[in-house]
Amino acid sequence: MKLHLVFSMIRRKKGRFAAVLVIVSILTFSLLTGCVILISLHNGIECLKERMGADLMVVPLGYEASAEDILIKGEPSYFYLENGIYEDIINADIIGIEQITEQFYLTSSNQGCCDIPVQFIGIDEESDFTISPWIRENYQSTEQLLENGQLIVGSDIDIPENNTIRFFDRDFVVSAQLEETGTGLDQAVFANRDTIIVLYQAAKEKGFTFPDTLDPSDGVSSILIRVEEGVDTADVAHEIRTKYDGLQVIETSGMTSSISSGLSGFIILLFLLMALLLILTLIILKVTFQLSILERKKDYELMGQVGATPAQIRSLIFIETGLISLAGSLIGVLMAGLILFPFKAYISSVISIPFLYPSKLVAIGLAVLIFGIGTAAGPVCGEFASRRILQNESN
Amino acid sequence: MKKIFSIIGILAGLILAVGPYTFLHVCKAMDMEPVCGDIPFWSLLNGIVLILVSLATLFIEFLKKKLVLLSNVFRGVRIVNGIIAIGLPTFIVGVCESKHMHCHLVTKPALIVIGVVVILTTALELVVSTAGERKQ
Repeated sequence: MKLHLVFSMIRRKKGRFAAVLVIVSILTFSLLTGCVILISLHNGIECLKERMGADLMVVPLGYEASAEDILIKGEPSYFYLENGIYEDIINADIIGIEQITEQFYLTSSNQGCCDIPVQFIGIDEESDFTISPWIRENYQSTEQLLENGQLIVGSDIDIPENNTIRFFDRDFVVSAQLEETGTGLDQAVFANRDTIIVLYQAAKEKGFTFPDTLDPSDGVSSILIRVEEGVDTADVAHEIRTKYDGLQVIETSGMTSSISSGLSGFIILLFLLMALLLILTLIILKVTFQLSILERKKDYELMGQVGATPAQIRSLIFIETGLISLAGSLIGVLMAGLILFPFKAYISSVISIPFLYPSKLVAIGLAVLIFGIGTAAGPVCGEFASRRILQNESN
Repeated sequence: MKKIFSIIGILAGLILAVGPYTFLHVCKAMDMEPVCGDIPFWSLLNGIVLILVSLATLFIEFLKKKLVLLSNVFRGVRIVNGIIAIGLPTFIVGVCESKHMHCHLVTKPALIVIGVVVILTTALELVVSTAGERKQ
């Protein structure tokens, strides 16, 4: 009976019902979208810090931006240090270096219409301390994952069903795929030194040009350094800079902190907007319901005369506002889900900074929480609006 | 109230027909035809059918004489349009393998979302109209 009454009330004022529905939908849509974006940005930065592994990254002078693009945006690039630099730094006995390793970079070409260039990273398995621990996190088997002719691919690389991937007209076996990080490393392909030489030769045959002096068997693109605890990273970086010319020494903490500080303004703004939207929505809902109840004051008086108690009238208002909020929240959450999740890859590519979506469980939890907030907003505002009016009436 | 569902159908049909040729474009053919190359043509046909049946349903809404069976047939066709919109980038035509190609990033999710919206709104319309008819 109550529901029948509520539906007839809604039917009589379709315009107002639609307006409240839209307001609640916008609130839940914006809250869910904002929360998912905030969490994804936070996850992306944390994952970048975690996956960086090294405190210092040494690249050729002028290639700092290219190195950051590889790590952060996943934009492939290749550059090489002068021959012998890696050995020189090892032999220089620089105080404070705990671990040191080197990497060799290559990129693939656009093959036809449906491929994008990928970043090849050749690692030295014996000295590597950046990628190998990460690989071991997912693949705890004792067997070697990077044997000759084998590749480990990032989460964004598609693996054909036969586990064989083709680059520069040669087939390679994919031995493992890494979990998503939200960084440029998701689009990278890792290989050992022998395999990267095969890829280098194949790239050369395909017309890629490399410096004449480059020897792929001991060429180095970047040197990664982990600094001993208690030693200032800046001191080690300074010593390398003063000893060797033509090197760019990047402090990786600076890389992540520059992204974090750049984002902090945006995050604060997003928080403020979300809070403002929540407050505005609550005010609008309260005023709307207050007007609606005032408008039907005579109806409620009539109900009171035929025996309805104030509690019954209040429960009628509660059901009406609850139903409208429920429908609005459902639409808002559905719309957010329909935009956020199918367009996940597109949003990540547009943002072009480390961006890692929350896990399914967290996303579902967030959706349920915001659905709850949206659904509760109507009845809470309705209750505040009705209490005063009905109290005045009973007095 | 029911007219809004037909209007949503017309708008979805327009996006399906025009989108894959414009802002929801598929990958460009270079030395070989991309897998997603056939999506625009089939989406155009699907979109035109969706626009026509939505217009027909809207027209019936304006008629005093209620053609319940015909309206329901048109709604059924719209649900099939929605399924085809989802199917084009997934099981009917497909998209390029690389996750970073435009057809994978934009066209596929957009067609799926439009398909889901068409199916959901048509199903809601069916529920609303069936409830209305029962009342009468």
